[in-house]
Amino acid sequence: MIKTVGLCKHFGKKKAVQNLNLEIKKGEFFTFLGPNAAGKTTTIKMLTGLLKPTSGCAYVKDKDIQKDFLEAKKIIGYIPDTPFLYDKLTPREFVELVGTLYGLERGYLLEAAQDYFDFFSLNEVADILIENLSHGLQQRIVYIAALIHRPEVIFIDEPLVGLDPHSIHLIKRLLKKRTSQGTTIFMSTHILSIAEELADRIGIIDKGEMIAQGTFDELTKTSGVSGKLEDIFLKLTKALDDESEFSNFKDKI
Amino acid sequence: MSQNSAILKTRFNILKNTLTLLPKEPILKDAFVGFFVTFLLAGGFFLFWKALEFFDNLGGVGIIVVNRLFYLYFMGLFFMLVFSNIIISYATIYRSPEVKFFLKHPLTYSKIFMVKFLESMGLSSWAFFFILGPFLLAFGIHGNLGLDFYLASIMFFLPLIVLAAIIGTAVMMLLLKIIPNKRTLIAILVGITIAAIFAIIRVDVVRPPALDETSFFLRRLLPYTNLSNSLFLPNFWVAEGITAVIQGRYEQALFWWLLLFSNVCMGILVIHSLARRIYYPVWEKIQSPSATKIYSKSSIDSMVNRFKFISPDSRAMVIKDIKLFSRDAVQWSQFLIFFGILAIYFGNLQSYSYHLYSPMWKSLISFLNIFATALVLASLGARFVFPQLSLEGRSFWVLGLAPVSFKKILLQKFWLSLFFSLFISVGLICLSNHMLEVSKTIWVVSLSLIILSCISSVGLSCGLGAVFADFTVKNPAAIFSGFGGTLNFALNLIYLLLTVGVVGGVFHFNALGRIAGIVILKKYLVLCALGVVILSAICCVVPLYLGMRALREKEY
Repeated sequence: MIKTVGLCKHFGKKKAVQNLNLEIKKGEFFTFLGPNAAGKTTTIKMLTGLLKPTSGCAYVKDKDIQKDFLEAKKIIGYIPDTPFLYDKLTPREFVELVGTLYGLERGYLLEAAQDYFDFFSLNEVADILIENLSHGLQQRIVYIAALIHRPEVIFIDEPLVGLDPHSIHLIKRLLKKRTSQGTTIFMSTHILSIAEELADRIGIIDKGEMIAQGTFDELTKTSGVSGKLEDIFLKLTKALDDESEFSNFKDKI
Repeated sequence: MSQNSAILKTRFNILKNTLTLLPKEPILKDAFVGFFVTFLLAGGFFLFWKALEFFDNLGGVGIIVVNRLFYLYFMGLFFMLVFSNIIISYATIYRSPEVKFFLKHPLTYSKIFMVKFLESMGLSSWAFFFILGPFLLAFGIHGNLGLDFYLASIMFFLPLIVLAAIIGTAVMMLLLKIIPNKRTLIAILVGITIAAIFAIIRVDVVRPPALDETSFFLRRLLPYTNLSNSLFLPNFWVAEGITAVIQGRYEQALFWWLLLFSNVCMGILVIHSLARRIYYPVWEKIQSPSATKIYSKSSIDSMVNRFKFISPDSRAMVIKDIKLFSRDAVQWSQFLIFFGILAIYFGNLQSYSYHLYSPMWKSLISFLNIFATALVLASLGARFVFPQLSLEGRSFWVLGLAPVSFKKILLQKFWLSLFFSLFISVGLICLSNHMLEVSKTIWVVSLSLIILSCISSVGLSCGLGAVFADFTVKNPAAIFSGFGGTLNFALNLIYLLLTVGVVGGVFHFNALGRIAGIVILKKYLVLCALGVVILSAICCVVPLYLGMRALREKEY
């Protein structure tokens, strides 16, 4: 469903992503891990067509994201790490806008929107301006806007920022349900427990290069570390080497 | 290091870092900005010089007008400074994210206020030096005045700036304290502004019957002079002080300066004490969310959805844009103020008996009205239309990923902006023509000119907005005050000078009898019409084409 061939992105001299080769199957839940500035968001932006690769190609459902941009966009849903919402619209108006842009039939759109408002307990705030809503409520609207057109591929960048435990629980269940129905999910996160819980396969990127990918068991073997994903991640990204720096840190204050 | 020094050092570092980036800017950009600034300053000087020369030519009465003009000028500056401070202090002192940062640190409220007050004063006042400089130079050269005139002008203008900032900031603080929410505040400010303009325009109700050139200008100016000579206004102290310096009455000049200075000191004490008491409560009130109004089915939806020939996705974007605009009081209030002022002025043209003037004056006033309307349109286009696409960069995950082409998004913005621009400006020009009772020819020419100006202005702003789209910038001010925004405004200005200026010139010379015969006039008009249509088409189509091409290459 998602395929990249030698995908690279350079910003001047900085190599943000280098020679990324990926293949993610239909209905697969793939989590993408990496330290800060490793190239996760850049990869997602290239896969969604928001950034042009310096070299290489990215395909979503066999459609070249650069050449068949409009066609590919119809089947993509994207939840960014810092989403912007039009603060002078109400959640209902915003979701209707997004649904119409995706060409949804009006009757279906209104019904689906109502369904989601019920699911995310947003009925009470559906008709007040978004600017008056808390961050957590706004994040729920982002999910509705990204899922309303039933995308076949969903890209999620830091999925659970600002959500309360109940919403997190709902979203985890919803995403799992979608993958069981054939939706492919590509999720980037720093919350390793979520990755461990949800992912079918995990990819780890560091300094723009994919350093490991596979199931949890395969990563355990690759790293030679048994236990939690956190230990595997720290080992593979060589972050454990920094332990000595921590012990040397003189916390004077 | 004290807190004050730390804050000052931070400001200095920010300035230093910004200046360090300047040499990295493209030379073309620096050259263009430099040229534009020089053009503005030279243009300002030329206009003031011409005005002074004109009054000189009037003879005795002209000399009185020139002296009055000096007082009027400082009154105008003072009121504009106060108004500028009222508006900018709201954004700088109450809405700036930096205040939240300061509040997290052990700083007193009055200290935070004073830091932001100084910043607001600077932001509100710096541009006035661009108006002051050309005027002082023109006035100084015209009157053969020495260096002491220029030095005194600056010495007197600086305390006037501080006093205007104190008054503007205090007015805003008290308004915020009294008024329950932002919406009411903006409505009141808009109301006050329009009422004030209306009052000024309506001052002249008793008119002398004579309508020659001298009386025309005196009647426009004299009603203002009484207020500019009011002893209680600081602008009078400034004008009196500078006049005293010019006449060598240095003791009196010192008196006026000390009067200004003592008022500044008193004002600082008052505003500091006011800030200690009410700054934080007011700031806190503004941060709290406003009452949650329920927005049920909007009439905008049903109205726009009647236009079935527009595709549903374009209609959805139109509905979104109209709703965002109509719900943002900061945006529509600026339109209301500028176009409201023009509407009141045009609506009162007959109160001044302009419709009874000779065809030469009527033609001149008519073209000046077209120029004023088109200029306001160009300024608002630079402020609102130009940054539209850059601001959509924030919503890349919605618009950028939706299966809608960038071309469609750009064209939707173009047509929507054009529709409203035409609606407002054609309406205003119809009002102006009706009030002036102009000839059929002027009706046709003025309407054609304003329609073409709208098309060009919107095309330029939308197209260049796409060419210079910066999806990383969140602040509209940073977008329209950048290179692209300045270029857009400059091109709009050049377009207006070339079209309205040239066509208006032909009519003016014809009214003066300098064009021999109707055949030659017609020949000139046909040439002008051809030139204006071709130039308008270029100004609209080329930027839009370049904009579409640029958008295809853009990254989010």
